[in-house]
Amino acid sequence: MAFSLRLFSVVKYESVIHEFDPYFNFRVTIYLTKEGFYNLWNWFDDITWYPLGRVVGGTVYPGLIWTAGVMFKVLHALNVPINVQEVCVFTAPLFSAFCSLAAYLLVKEIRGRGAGLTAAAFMAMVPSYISRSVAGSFDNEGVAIFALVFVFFLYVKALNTGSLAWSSAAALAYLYMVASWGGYSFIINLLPIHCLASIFTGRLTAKLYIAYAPLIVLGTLEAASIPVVGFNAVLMSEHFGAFFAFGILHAALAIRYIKDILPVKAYNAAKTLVLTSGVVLMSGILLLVLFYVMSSPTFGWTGRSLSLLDPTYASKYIPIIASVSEHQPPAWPSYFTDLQAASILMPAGLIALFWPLTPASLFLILYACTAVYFSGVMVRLMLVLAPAACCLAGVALHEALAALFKGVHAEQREQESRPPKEDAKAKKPSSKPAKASFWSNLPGFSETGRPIPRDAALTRGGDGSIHIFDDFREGYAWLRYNTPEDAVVASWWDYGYQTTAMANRTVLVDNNTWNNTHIATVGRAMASPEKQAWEIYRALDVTHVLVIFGGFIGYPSDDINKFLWMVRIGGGVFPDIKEKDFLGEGGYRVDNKAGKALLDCLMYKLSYYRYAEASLMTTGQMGFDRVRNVQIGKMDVTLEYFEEVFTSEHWMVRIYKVLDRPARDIKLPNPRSTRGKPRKSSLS
Amino acid sequence: MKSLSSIIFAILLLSFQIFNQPASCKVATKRKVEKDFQRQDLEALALQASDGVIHFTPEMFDDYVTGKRRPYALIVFCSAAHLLDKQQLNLRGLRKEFGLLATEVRKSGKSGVFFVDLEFKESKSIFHRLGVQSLPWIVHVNPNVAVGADGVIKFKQDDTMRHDDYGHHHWKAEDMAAFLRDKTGINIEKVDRPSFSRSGLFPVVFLAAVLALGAIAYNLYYAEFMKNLVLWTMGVLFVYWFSVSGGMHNIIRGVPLYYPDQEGKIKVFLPSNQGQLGLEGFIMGFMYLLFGLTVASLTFAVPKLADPSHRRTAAYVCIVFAGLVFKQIVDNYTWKTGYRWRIYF
Repeated sequence: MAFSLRLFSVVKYESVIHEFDPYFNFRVTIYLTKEGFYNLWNWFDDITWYPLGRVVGGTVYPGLIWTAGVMFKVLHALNVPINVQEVCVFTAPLFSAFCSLAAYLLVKEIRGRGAGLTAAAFMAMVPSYISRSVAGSFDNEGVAIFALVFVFFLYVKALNTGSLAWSSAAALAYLYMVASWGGYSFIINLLPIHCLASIFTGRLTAKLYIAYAPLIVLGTLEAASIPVVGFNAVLMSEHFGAFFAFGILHAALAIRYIKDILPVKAYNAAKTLVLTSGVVLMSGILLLVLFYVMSSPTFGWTGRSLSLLDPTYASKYIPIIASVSEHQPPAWPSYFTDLQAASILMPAGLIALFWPLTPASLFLILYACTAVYFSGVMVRLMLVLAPAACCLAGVALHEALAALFKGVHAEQREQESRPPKEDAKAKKPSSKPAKASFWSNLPGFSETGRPIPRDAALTRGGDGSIHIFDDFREGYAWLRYNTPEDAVVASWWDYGYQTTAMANRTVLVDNNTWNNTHIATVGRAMASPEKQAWEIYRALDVTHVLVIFGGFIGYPSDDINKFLWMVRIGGGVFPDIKEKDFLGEGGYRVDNKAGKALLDCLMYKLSYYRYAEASLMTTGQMGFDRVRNVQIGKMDVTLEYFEEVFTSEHWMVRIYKVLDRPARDIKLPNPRSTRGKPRKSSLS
Repeated sequence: MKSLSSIIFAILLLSFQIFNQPASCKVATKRKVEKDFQRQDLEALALQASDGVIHFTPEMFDDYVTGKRRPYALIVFCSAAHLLDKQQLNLRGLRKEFGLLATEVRKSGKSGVFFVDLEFKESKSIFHRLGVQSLPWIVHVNPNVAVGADGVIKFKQDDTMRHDDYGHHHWKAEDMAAFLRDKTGINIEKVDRPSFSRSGLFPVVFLAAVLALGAIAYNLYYAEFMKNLVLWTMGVLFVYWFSVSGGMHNIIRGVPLYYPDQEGKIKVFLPSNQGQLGLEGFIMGFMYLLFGLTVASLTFAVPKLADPSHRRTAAYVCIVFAGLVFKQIVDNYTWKTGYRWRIYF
C-alpha cells in the first residue's frame, strides 16, 4: 500500500523527477552509473558554482545515490534494461514501503504485533512522509527516514535482546543513515538522552551497555569516514552529548561494580571520595570545553542546530537559513495537514507507553517528545516526527481496539448470563471514531499531501479541466538547445540544480548553499541597477540570466516574491544593499509606491520588461500583476545591457542574454512591442 | 553724470557694509559663544546621564534645538511611557540599544553628536513638530537644519529611522550605529555589550552553578516524587501540547495572543492559512490533547469501572465526546485551510 499510494504522481504527470534537490541527486546518480563508485569520490563538478566549482564527492551525502546506483547495477546485471531515471523515480516509494516494515518491527519490539501492524498502516500513509517520498521525489529524506526508523528498531532490538549482533547491525544501519542525511545528528543526540534517562531512572542494565556503547564507538568511526561529515563527528558540539553519555554510562557501571565488591561502609566512603574528585575533575573539563566552545563565534554548533535550540537565532543572524520555507515554525494546522489522525492520537499513545514503562517504550517516549519539540521549531522536522507520531498512534489505536474488543472475547469465552448480542452491540460503535479517523487519512493526503511538481505547475480550468504549465521544462530545454555549451547562466539559487541537470549549463549558485558570499553576490547583482549588475555579471563571465516570473499567470513563488530575501542575503555581505531602500510605503510592494531602489533594480526590470503591454491583453489592464494584484509601478521598462532572448508560453521563465556592450539605442522601438504599431481593427 | 552717481552709491554701499560688518560679526560671535556654552552644557548632561542619553523636556528642546544651526548634531529617540510595555513595539529594548550606542560614542571620545530621548506625553507638541506618526522613531537633527520656534520641522526623508524601515523594528545598536555612520560619519566599529560571561567572576559562578545543579540533581535523584510516572506523563503531554499549538511559532514570530477588530471585539482566530494567533493555537492544541485524552481514558480508565452498565455508559460518553471533538477539529481545520474532508466509506 505504501508503495502504490506514492505512484499517483506518475499516473498524473508521467515519470519525471520533481522539485529542486532531486535534480542534483539525479545528476550525480547518472555520473555514478557512468563512472563508477570510486570516481564519484573524486568528482569535481565544474559547471556549478562558477567560477569556483564544487567538490561533489566530498560534500554530498552519498547514501541515496549509492542506493539508486546499486539498484541500477543489480537490475542491469539481471538483464533488466531500465533507465537511470526510472530507478531514481521509484527509489523513494520502494523505501517508504521498507519504512513501513521498519515501523512494524520497531513497534512490535516495543508493544507487540498488533500495535506494530497499526503503526505500519499509519506509517504507510502519513502525508508528511508521502510528500517526501512520492514517486519522482528523489531526495535524501526518502531513504533517510527508513534508515532512521531502522536504526531505532535495531537499537531497541539490541536493547531487548542484549545481543551484540543486533547492536552491530544498528551501527551498520547508522552508517547508512549518516551517509544519507544530515538528520543523523538527531539519532546521535537522541540515543544519549535515552541512555542517560535509563541510567537515572534506574534502568541501567548490561543490555543497555551492549546496545549503546558499540553503536557510539562504531558509529562515530563510521561517520568520520563519510567525507561530508569527516572530523566533524568528533569536533562539533552536536556529537559531544554522545560522548558525555558514554562516559556517564561507564562511570555508572563502575560505581555498580564497586558497590558489589565493597562492604557498605567502605562503599559509602568511596562514594564520597569519588564524588568529590569526580566533581572537581568534571568541572575542570567543563571549563576547558567551555573555553574551546566560547572561542568560536557560533559556540562550535552549526547554524542549523543552533536555530533549533534558540529558535530566534536564524531569523536574527542567518538569513539564508531563515529564507527557506521549510525552516519556518509551523502553526497548528500544519500538524493536522502533515500527520492527520496520528497527530491527535499521539497523547493516547504516550499515555499507553507509560504503563508499563520499559526501556524500549521509554525510548519511544523520548523520541516523540524531542521530535515534537523540534518540529515546533522547524516545519521540516515534521518529517522526523512523522515516524514517532505513527508509532504512537499505532500503539494508541491498538490499545483502544484491544480494550474495546476484550469485552467481546471475554463474553464469548466465559458464556456469561447476559446475552452476548447486547454486549456486542454496546461495544460495536465504539471503534467508530478511531476507525473513522484512521481511514480519513486517505482523503486527506489526496488533497494536501502530494506536492505539485515545481517544474510543471498545475491549475484547474473553469470547466474542471486540468491545465499543466510546463514552462520550466520549456525554458530549460530552450537553454539546452539554443545556448553555447560553455554558457554561464545566472539565476537565484533555487534554480541552480534544475539548470545544471535539465539544461546542462554552468550556473553561478545552486541549492547547495555552501558559499554564502557567492549567493550574496548574485543577490547583489539582482538588486543593483542595470549597469552595476551588468558589471558584476560580466566579471563572472555570465552569458545568460534566468528569472522566474509569475505575474502573468499568478504563480506566487516567483523571483519578485523571493526578492526581499535576495536583498537580505546580499545585504548580509555587501552593506551597500539596504533593505529599507527596497521597501515602499507600508512595506514591500511593486506598485507606484514601491521603494525607488526596487523600481531601478535589475530583478524588477527583467521581470517586468515588456510586461505592461502583455498584461493589457490578458487582464485588460496595463501592467497588472496577477500575483501581487496591483498595477506595477513602472510600465516603461527599457534594457540597455541585457537582451531578451526567451520567454516561455506563460511567461514563467524569462531568459536574457548579457550583451557584450551596451545596446546603442534603446529608444528604438522594440521589434516585439505591440505598442505604437497600427492596431488592426475590424473597422479598418 | 549718471555713472558718477552710481559709483558714489556703490562706494556708499560698500562703506556701509564695511561699517556694518563688525556689528553683525559681533552678533554672530555672541551667538557662537552662546551655542558653545550650550554644547558644554550638553556634554555635561551627557556625562551625568547613566548611559549617555539626555532626556529632553520641551523647554530643553527649545533651548538646545531651536535656531538656524547648531555646532552639534542630535540623535533623537522618540518614546512613550505608556507604550513601553507593548511587546510588539519593543520600545524598552530599543531604548536600551540606543543607550548602548550612546555609551559607546561617549567612550570613544568622539564629539559633535548628542543622544537625546523624548517622551510622548511630556512633549506632545514636539512630537507633532517632528512629524512623528508611529513609534519607534529615531531622527537625526542635522547641525544645519533650521528649527523655528514653532511649526513643523522639515527633515529629509532619510534622516529618520522609522517603524517599517528595516522590515522589522528589532533594531540593534549596530543598526543604529550604521545609521549614525551614514548621517554623521562617526564610525562605531563594535558595540560592546556588558556581558557577564566575560567578567573574571564568570568561571567561578559557572562552577558554582554547575555544582549547585549537581547537588540538586543528586537530591532529585533520590526524591520520591521523581518516580511518579503521572508527573512525567504530564510533562510529556505538556511538551506535546505546547508544540502542536505552535507555541514556538508564537515565540519566533512574536504574534499576539489575540487582537481586537474594528468593532472592538476580540478576535482569537486568524482566518488565513498562513500563521495563527497565540490563543488560537493554544485552543487548538488543547483540542488535540482532549481528543487524545478521551481515547486514552476509553482505553485505560473505562475498563477499570467495576459495574458493566457504568462501563457501557462511560464508553458511550467517551465515544460521543471524542467524536464531537474530532468533528470540531476537522471543522476548524477546514475553515482555516480550505482543505475539504471526505470519508470514503
